[in-house]
Amino acid sequence: MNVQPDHKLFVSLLEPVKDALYGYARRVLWNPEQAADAVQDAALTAWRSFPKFERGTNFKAWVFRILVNTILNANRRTQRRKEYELADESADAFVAVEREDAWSMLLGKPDMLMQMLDQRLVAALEHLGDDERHCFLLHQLQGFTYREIAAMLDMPLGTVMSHMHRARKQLRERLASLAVEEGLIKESAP
Amino acid sequence: MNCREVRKWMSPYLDSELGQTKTFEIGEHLAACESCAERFEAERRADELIRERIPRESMPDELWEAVTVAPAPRVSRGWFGVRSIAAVAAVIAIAVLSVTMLQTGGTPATPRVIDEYVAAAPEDLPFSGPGDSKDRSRQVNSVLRREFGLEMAMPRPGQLVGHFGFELVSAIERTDPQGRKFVEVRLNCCGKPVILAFASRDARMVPAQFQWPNPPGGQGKENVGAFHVAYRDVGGAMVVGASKHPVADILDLLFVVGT
Repeated sequence: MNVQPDHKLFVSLLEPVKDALYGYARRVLWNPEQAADAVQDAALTAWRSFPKFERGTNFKAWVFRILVNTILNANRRTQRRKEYELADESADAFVAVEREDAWSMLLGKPDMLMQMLDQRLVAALEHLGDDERHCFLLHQLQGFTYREIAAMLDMPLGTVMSHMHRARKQLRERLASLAVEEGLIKESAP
Repeated sequence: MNCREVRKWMSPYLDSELGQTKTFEIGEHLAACESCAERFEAERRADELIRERIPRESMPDELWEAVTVAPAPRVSRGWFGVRSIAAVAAVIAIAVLSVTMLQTGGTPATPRVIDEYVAAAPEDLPFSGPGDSKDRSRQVNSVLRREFGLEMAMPRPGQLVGHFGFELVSAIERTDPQGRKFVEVRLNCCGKPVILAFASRDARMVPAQFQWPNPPGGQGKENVGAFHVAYRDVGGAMVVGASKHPVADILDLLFVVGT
């Protein structure tokens, strides 16, 4: 069998981050098949680019950058991001204040928040725009710093900061409105 | 800093991403303002809860095997593999068409090929039920590879065809009116006819990897996941095409298969 010289090293570096890669792909893509294809495609690209990887630097950040770009390129083709951005901009100020009130109430009731999270978190995450979701998950799920995320997504540090701010805001608004819709919280929150 | 300014910086502050000066200024405010301090603490707890509850999933063994065992030649050619296919081929559009029986009430022209097939298939072909789809997949795959040099990435659980067992009926090379060659594969899917049309033998086609739980009637197009999907009621049957390529290409093939 034709084994490439560095393949063992590549696999040994990839193994500790394999679940992180797949878990991340699952949270930003629609279904397991797409996630699997994205991971496989990214792993293949990583393997082909492996000679360029600088030994001793952060392999996880390097391979995540490849995965993120693989997913972003595919999403650009399907033009999903615009739909979300338009939907998010449509909220008016009055609704935003109501959601803010509802979120404040949720903050005061950790049990209720936990119940909401168990039931609705994935849906709320899927509602985020692509950039917000990538930034949020890369930071919250994978622990990357804003600077590392900026390098992965090829965007300025300030933009990552804005996306994180928007992601938090949108996620909270979404969870708050779901709590109101489901009657967990009354609309006339103090 | 006042309360409003402090809250503006809450997100990067919670993430420990602010510089020393800003962090100090905010800390100073929080020490003096009970309301902001409470809010920041509650937000920090909410962040922790959210972080804890984001579902984590492990990579399936099968995928890890595919990733590590065969790094050079690609094993699966799903949506994410199409980029390299496109580079190989300045060829024709990839399209996957499937025909599923649908109860429709009335209708447009009934294309001859489908009509005959619908009439013949249920009686003549052995029923193959859910659970044996893997074997059927292998069977179809091997014939396509042998006869046409086509590589089919077989459906994983959850994909459209994967919901059913299916049996290979025939695979015929055809030419559309524009002179484009495609391979028409006919399957028996739980007693129902299915046609997959692969637009070019050079492009190493894949079957659709999309889920479409409730196909509508009539004719139309929409996006399902990463795929453009077109569908057409052909009288007693629904032709469904899925591709990453423009819908016009799919509609072309729907027409060819249907006539």
